[in-house]
Amino acid sequence: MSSSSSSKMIELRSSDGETFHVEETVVLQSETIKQMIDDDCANAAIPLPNVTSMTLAKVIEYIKKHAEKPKDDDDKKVAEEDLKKFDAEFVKVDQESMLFDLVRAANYLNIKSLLDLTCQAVADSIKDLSVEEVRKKFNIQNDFTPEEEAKVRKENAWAFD
Amino acid sequence: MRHRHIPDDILVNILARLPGKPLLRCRCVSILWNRLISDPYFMKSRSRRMILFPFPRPLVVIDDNVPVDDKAHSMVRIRSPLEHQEGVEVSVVGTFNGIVLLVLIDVSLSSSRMILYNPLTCASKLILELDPPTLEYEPYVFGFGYGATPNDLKVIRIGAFDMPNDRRFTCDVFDLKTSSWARSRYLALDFYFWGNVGTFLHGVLYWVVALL
Repeated sequence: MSSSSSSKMIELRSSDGETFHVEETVVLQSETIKQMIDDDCANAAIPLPNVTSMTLAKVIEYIKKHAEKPKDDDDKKVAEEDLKKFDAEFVKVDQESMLFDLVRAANYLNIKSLLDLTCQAVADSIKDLSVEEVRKKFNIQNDFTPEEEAKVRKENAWAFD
Repeated sequence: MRHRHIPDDILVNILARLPGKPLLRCRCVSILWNRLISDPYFMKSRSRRMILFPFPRPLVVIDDNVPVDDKAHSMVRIRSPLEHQEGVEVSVVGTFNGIVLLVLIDVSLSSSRMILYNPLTCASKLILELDPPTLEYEPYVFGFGYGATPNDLKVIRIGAFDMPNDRRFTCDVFDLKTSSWARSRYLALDFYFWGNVGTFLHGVLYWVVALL
């Protein structure tokens, strides 16, 4: 790790009461936390009532990796490749609900690159699904009447070819 | 059962990343999803580039939003507004906010129709029917752009007619907002147009011409 040991540590508290200590330079990737620090609200542990400890641990793993600074240009290329691989692996989560939790956490913490990554992963995971499978994945009740649904399907018939 | 509620703005963020076909399928998921996807602001906000080929029929679209190696999603044949129509030539006159302006020329009658066409939803709307050009061997030349504001869409139609010792063009401007033609202007031009559509760039329409 290239970040200096003298960096200020920030304490984060998850919804289930677990605390995490993260360097300030790393945690600044979250616009939400950056705002709190700028507003001087970060002297005590920052409560994150919307993020569980399991999700927060994953988010911290992500921002730590993305805070690593390459030493020189050669190193930069290697680091970019490495980061790409890391991102691809990062969204391969065992439980589908974890991906949704990460999307929500990235949105709440306002970490744009993580939001982009996780939203793209969700989009990739549904693009080959049928309508019924998408409903199941998002736990959505079909609220169309049969007539309405038939109409929308007809309008978009080519998309079902 | 885990709670999977996703706020609308995140849902829009996810849907905006879908290729055209799966996106349209998703309209059938629920009333909310249909509403989000049908919202004109949603369509407008997405930076989705498409390459539209007027040939072969039916129209083919390359969806630039999708990696090229993903053939199943990147290149799709779309329902064309001119299915079951033989002897019709298509010109893509211009595009705006994902909507394409097409001119369909009936080769035998040489009358033409102008339609607005959304390659994603395949919705089309007839704007107007045009009479055959005065000189049957010189088809109309078109241009599509906007005036003072980007919502002020206008179509330009240039037609040639011969006068003794002179070559004249009529230039008509059709205003899409008011659905009406402005009064014709006559231009004395000593060149021929190459191709029948212009290119709109930074507020100016350009055509390639050949000098006489």
